[in-house]
Amino acid sequence: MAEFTLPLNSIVKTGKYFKCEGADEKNIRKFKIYRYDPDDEKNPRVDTYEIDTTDCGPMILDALLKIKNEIDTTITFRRSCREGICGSCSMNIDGRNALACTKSIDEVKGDIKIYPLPHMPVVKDLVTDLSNFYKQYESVQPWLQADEPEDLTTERLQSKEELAELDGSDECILCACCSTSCPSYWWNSDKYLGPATLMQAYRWIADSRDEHQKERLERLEDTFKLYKCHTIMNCTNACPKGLNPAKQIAKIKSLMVSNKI
Amino acid sequence: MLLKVLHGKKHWLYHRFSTILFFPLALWIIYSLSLIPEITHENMVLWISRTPNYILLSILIIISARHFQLGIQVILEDYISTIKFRDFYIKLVNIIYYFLAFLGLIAIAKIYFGVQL
Repeated sequence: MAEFTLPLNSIVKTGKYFKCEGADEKNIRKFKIYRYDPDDEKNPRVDTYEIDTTDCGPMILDALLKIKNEIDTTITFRRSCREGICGSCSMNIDGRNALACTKSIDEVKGDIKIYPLPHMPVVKDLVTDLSNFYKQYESVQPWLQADEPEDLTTERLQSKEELAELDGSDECILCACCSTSCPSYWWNSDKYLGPATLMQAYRWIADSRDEHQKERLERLEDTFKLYKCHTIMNCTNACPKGLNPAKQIAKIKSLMVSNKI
Repeated sequence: MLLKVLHGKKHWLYHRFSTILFFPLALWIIYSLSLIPEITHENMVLWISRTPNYILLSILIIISARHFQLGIQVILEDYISTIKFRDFYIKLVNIIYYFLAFLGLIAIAKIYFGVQL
């Protein structure tokens, strides 16, 4: 059955307070950051860090790096490209899933609350276990499948119109912001593929060069894999790249009917 | 198909079709009942005894009961992870759906044919 209360060891406690000395009060922003270390067997806590914004970059990731480099080296988070391409620094900022590298500190009013992606097992602090997410991505076989032998001296060309059919789904960076903002995915992440994976499924279904559309659709014909999408639209709201996974999922459902799968 | 537990595409399609059918029928029943000057037992019997009302009300009962069953099935699938409990409750809701729809149809048929006879 679904669990409606938190187990005792999941209740978040108030943690340490790191004060910023000598800075002008009006330039100080408070970062309230979720901390959890499975090794110390303690409850998760929220530590508060004061940051002088005049001595810090403009983005949330800049502040996190400043905290890690100058205040508390134990804080753990993923980051890589710092420009919204790799999807590593996805986390829950001010109640919304976002990339820390593309979300500016000024966008958030009041204290800045940073939590890991919701409803995912936490490895440590802001790092979540995305194994299931990647396994689901693998299950849609995200690579070109074409049976017909091609002349190896020519490319598989795609027109601009055919590319437009992908509708931005090829721009997804797999940050998991959409999937982890979806209540259906929270309840049934073991069975429902979630918006990110379904958008990737659509990306290959809609690809003019792929010849396995029917098989791809057949694999999705399942009560849970596809149809647990209830068009809640949190995915579209959360996507830091401005993509629309809900629309791609609707297109898959429509193709299911028109292809008589 | 009306009596089966639906899954996947069929469930999705039937749920949408039942919504589309339910909407005009819901508007019709609100409008039609608003024309009755006073909701009394006699007036309601008279209203059901009119053939168009009887036919549309029968369709509304079937559609709304099926829509209810399909909707509850989604909720049960979402929140009950134990397969054996989930299947049990879905079947139970199906039985309730058949029973309520059957009861409703019998009730209005009794009124309709009772008055006609």
